[in-house]
Amino acid sequence: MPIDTDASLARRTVRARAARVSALLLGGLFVGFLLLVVFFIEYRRAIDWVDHTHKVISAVEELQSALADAESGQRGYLLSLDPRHLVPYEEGRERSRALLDRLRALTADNPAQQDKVTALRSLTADRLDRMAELLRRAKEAGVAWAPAPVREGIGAGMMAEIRRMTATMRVEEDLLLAGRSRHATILELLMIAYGIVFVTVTGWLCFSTVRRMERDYQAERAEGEALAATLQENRVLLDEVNHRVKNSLQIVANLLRTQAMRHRSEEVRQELLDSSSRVLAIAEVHRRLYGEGAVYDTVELTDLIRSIAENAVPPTGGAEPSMTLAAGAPLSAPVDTAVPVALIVNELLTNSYKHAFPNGRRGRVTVDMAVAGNEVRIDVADDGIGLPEGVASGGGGFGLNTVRNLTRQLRGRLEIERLTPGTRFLLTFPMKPRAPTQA
Amino acid sequence: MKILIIEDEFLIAEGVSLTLQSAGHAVTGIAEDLPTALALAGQEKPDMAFVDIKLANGSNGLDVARELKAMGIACVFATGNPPNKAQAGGVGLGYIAKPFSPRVLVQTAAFVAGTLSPCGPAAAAPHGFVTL
Repeated sequence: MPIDTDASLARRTVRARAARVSALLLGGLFVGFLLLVVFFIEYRRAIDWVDHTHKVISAVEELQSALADAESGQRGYLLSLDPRHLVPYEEGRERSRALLDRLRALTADNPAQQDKVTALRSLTADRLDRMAELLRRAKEAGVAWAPAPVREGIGAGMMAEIRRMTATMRVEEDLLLAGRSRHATILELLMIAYGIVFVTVTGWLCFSTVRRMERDYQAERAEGEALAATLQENRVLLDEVNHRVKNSLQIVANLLRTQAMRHRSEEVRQELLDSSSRVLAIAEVHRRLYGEGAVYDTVELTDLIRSIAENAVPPTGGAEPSMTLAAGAPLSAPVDTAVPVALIVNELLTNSYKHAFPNGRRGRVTVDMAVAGNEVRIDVADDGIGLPEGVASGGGGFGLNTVRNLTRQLRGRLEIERLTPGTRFLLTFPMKPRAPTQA
Repeated sequence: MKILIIEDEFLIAEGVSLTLQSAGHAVTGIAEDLPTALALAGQEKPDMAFVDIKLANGSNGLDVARELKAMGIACVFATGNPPNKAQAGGVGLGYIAKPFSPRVLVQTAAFVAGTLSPCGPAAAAPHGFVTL
């Protein structure tokens, strides 16, 4: 489970704020990108207008050229009556008409130019009609009479008017071209500048985001390593503490035992040995809670009782130990149940071994454990000489009183039954079965 | 059997010694570190040794067991930090975990005696003794 430290909480707050800022910046970048697209579209449009103006200028110049060709052709025919001169005339005439249509279409956006085109169309039509008339008359006359109409200068006047009109249109278009070119250039520069800013900001944002993520990662890794080191240190310390406790329990048990073996009084010796045995019963619980590198919060009762029963058997004596333990799933008990159970079973067994078989009497001591629903039953029985009168109903020494108190602590019941022969102690207490867990 | 005790906690060593002597064994000495253990082993030639893992002066029970095994002395670890098979590396017969009862100690000594005898062990390993 991750552990929240002050540093990690602070980092999380900063990261949340940075995420919000980044989201804003990204939103800004997106809008910026859209603006760039708009700039580009505008720029393309400006370029298109510049192209358009060039086309109008080009069409105007071509019209002048077409009319000049037609005029040249006409003049040539009038002077020589050579039909070859009619080719450029006719081509020029057709091109002029087509160019006028094109000019009309190209200047559809410009009402002033449209008016000029209309006037130009009229002038051109008149000029072409006059040319056609002169050519017709020249064909009919069959002689070179053209110089006369040419000397009249009507055609020249018309052409002059046409040239003035086209020149006006050209000036207008030149002005438009200048403006539009300037506009396109400005847009181009803006686009380039904006593009540079956009790329720079995006690059900076990416760089700073990556750097921040890298810094965060390093900080988290360092913190993780520090935590792992602390955890390992704590494990080592815990192992050391457990080792000390085990040694200490062994020392206490041994001290009592050693003192017992050196004492002259049998009664005192037995009391000290009983105390040593109680310490070892508690030690059995501790050994199971603090294993190799692991800490548990439950103890397996069947195995615990088996060890205590084994340890309770005196080294020499007439009683033959016999054990029956509940079959089935292991029964895990929390430590505040396991310790009283260990002490109770130890007390009942040592009592049986001490008192039930005096003077070399042989017999059996049995331990049974069973689980029925949420109730545990531990049955310790012997076939010895039985309890003295009054003990079953509330008397007894320190050991049996301890058993009664511990039974109360377990919220259980202790039933003492006189057998023929022997005694039976039935301990029942409530306990919900739990799966063994590692703390 | 002649038994050597290798334990740096005097009060534990004394208790172990008295228990083994009450069971009829001869305790050839108590050593708290590797040099003392080797000196006593060479001098007294015990049949087996009970060896703690964490010893005095930086000594390690696994090293002691390795040396004693080379001298033909059977070792049983008596420790609060039981070693695993990989660590023990075949140098110890097994271990009893602290805190152990006098019964476990005596039954283990009897089991080892049976193991060392030409007929082999008379019974299965006692409860509380873990074979390595």
